[in-house]
Amino acid sequence: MQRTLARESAATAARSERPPRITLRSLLAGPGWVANALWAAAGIGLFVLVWTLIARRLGNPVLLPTPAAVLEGFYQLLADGYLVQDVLASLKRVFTGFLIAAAIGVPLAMLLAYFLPLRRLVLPLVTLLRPIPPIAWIPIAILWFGIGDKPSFFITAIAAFFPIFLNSFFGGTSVEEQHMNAARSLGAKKASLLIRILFPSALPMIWTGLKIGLGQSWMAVVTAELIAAQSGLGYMIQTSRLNLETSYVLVGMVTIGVLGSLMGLALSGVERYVLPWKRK
Amino acid sequence: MSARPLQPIHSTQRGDARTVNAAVGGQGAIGVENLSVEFKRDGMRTVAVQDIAIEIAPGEFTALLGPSGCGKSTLLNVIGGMVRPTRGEVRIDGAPVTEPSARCGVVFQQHSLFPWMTALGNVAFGPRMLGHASPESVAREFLALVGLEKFAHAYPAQLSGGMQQRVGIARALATRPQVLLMDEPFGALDAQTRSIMQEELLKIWSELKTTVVFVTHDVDEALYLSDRVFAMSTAPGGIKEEIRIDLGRPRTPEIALSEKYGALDRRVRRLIREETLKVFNSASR
Repeated sequence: MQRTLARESAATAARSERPPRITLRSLLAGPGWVANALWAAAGIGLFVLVWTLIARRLGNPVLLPTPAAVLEGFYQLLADGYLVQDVLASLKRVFTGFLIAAAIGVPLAMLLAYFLPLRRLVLPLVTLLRPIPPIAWIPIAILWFGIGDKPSFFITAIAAFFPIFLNSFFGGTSVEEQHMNAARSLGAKKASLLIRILFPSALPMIWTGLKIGLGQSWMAVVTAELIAAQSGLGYMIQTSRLNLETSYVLVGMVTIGVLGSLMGLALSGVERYVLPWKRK
Repeated sequence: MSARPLQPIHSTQRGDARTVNAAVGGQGAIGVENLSVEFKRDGMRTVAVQDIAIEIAPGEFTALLGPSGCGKSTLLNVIGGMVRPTRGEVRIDGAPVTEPSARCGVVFQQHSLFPWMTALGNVAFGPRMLGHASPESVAREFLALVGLEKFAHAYPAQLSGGMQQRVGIARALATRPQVLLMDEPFGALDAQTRSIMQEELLKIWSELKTTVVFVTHDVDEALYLSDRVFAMSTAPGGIKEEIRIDLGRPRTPEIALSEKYGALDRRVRRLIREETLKVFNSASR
């Protein structure tokens, strides 16, 4: 009903050649990214306001610095170059671990979805390993790989592996039997069935797994760096805490949140190129 | 579609060279010998089809007609190698069918196009699998045959149901199979589209002269399309009677007004009604 009204009023506006008036209200009601951005800004603004009020009232910068103090700390760390170094160190660990996990998880999932004996052999093992949280792997990662990049690669890979593998596997096993039959009646043999039918039909689920996996990996890197590294955002948070530099701790946390969100947005942004047939 | 005992996808038998080579030569004669298919469902043994024996001549258009549950799709799936028979055998040009192969093109009821490929990609898939030098040019040829060359780059989800089925037909024909199996291909379409699709199918068939086995529960569809109709019996499925449809060719929809058609129509309807009642009564008892 509202939509028809809107269409009619748009038609009227076109007839009288007067552009419809843009008001804040019309912007907020719109479906586009401008409206979304406005709503997001409003929500974050509200949060920052409440935070400021509480921090002022508390008057204890060690317990809770104001947003302004955090922003100041952000500029300092940016000017010192420490923040960029730490972000780069963390990003490198996340992407390395994530790529290792994807390179093993996706092909393994496809093979297990296709070959029943292999599935029966390997799947119980995966089921047993899955409940072990990445953080529980840290001691062994340090024993095996020492301190630095390597144990972090290991932890981020572990964290990303399970969502990637499991989603890919379910994607692979839920392939339409009819698609497999159609492909076979068109002359496809094992390798083609695996690569040209099973894989693309699982791709939406694989993609979901990759998105979740990257998020998990990003969360795990901080955990790993709290303990097993001497650089990165996790390490920065940890040392700032020891120095009672709470504003730096919060800079680290906000940076993690912002970068993680941006990664998610970036993946959603390229989705239509990865899954062109799902395009609206 | 009813559930059938699907072979797990990993248990494909070894591919043999014969299936690939056969796509080139051969005539498309189908022989079904003493065929029975039993399913095990929840530990219960159900007989889907029992002791079926039919011979289909090269280039013949046949229909398997019957109410749902008569095993017509099962029979079709055995001919296509997608379901293995419990007893008996299917031969195409003398060679036994053991697995799906490019000898038999299959058009499914719906949603069988690969959604991640464009119309062109779907039709080119078969020629590509058979090692054709330029699969896409073959695909264009067959898309043109079904009148969809303009939609080559559309994904299935962007096409109407009728267009999807036309792509499905083009895809099944693009490997030049000797046999074309069609499992209620127009069942999900509206009546008008369906009737136009039937005419189109006859036009294409008269050009390619492929052997066609067409599964349907629609008497008009079976009569209009076929040279021969197999009216199927239910529980267990079997061939109740075969009816030769000697209405001449080419056919137009007006053929339904002829006296000869009327007589065939009454006869076939009576047969199908008997079987449907049998199922209906046993279910409501």
